[in-house]
Amino acid sequence: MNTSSSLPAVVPILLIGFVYLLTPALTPKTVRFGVRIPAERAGDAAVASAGRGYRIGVVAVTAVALLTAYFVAAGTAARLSGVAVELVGTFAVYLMARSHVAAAKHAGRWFEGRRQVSVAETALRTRPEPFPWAWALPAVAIVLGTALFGVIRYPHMPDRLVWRYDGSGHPTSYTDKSFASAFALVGVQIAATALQLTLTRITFRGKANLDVEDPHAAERQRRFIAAMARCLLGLTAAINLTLFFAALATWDVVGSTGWFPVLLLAPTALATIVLITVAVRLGQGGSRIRFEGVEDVGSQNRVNRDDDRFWKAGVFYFNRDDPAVWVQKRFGVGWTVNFARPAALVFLAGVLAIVVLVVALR
Amino acid sequence: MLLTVEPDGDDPIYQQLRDQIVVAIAAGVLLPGDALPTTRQLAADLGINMHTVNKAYDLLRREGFVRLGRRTGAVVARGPADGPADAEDVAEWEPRARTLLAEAFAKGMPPQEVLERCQVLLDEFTKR
Repeated sequence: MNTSSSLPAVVPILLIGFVYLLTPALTPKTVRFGVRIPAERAGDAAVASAGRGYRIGVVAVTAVALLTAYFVAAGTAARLSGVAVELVGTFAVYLMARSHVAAAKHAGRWFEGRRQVSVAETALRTRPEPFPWAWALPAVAIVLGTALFGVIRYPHMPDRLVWRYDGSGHPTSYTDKSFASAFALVGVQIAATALQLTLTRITFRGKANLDVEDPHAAERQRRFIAAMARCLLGLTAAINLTLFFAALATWDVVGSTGWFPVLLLAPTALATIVLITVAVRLGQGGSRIRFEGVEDVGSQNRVNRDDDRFWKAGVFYFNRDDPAVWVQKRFGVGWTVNFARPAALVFLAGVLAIVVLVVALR
Repeated sequence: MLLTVEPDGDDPIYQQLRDQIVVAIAAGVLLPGDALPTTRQLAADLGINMHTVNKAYDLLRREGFVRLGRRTGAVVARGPADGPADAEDVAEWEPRARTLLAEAFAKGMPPQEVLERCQVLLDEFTKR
């Protein structure tokens, strides 16, 4: 085993474990471990014990994953095997917690005698939250700046540009200077910005999951999408900045070794930390936002519709009747697709194609 | 305004939607000129089929409550202040009112109480 090469494996494993540990607290109280429950059952003993088992499980899996990365393999294999163990293991722990809650729900007939409803707030559509376009300007400005810099720098670039680096910033392969190779990173910036802008905009206008028992439901949704859009646009700008730094290195403006790899990733890392912090503060759909005043407990015996049958394994949404393509995740913060909609499948195929293309080009 | 649907309820979903919108118009929650979400938006938000929302909007259009535009979706077309009900509307409404009153009376509610309760309900709309 090689300590220095398995160290990078530790970071993603710990990050995944950390995120998985946090996630249950971020989900709305009417959905626990991917299972829809009436709000008053959120404190049920079965839910609590599922949560305990889950936490123990995630810690155990993370420990196993770390050991795998450290002892079983080295280098890239360490990273991959450790992360694979972590991903598969945490998902398995989640599934166990989910079946525990689902079993309690069915045995206890938690939805019996309750009126199941779906709720929509028309104002979210007729007086929609304004999209924070101004926050997209930094991302665009950085792309333009990078391109401009490249144009000015082009005559002074070496005839052979670095094409690939290793983990500590040492060049490992070169390519001939050309318009395409010099501006490849600008191309990546443009594509990444376009994709992220589009997705942020689409999910911003995506459907809300309003809790029928919560009088502040619509306000939660507004604050959630407003904050998430800003964070995502900020992340887009940060990624463009990272790509700008990378371009500076390939254009021979700055050295690529020493502290540079850290500097390179700093903007993206910082923006990601901000995003996660905001997501944790708000909770999925704004579920953790605190409001003043007494919670109005609806006297109409109404609960959120039990839509478990549309959520396969509690994570894959499949509903032919629902025209929505993007929906809010059930377990986690963010969005996922409605797999019953062709547009969603086309999108996923497109993403897959891009990934395959990038891997093939390396 | 909040629109609530109960998929397993007694009334079909499109009827539930139509009823809530009519009540909102009566209560002044929806004013003439107010927009309603498009079919697709409302269907997505409620997680129901677009046909169902279409049916509701179409029913409201035929009853004269909303106008449907291609780009603008549904817009409230009239309110309580927009002219008295014509004979046709009254003729359509009266049998249903008759059934409701019959239900109450047949279950032993005294006529006076029936009228009082009706007044309370009407006050909801006129007091806004």
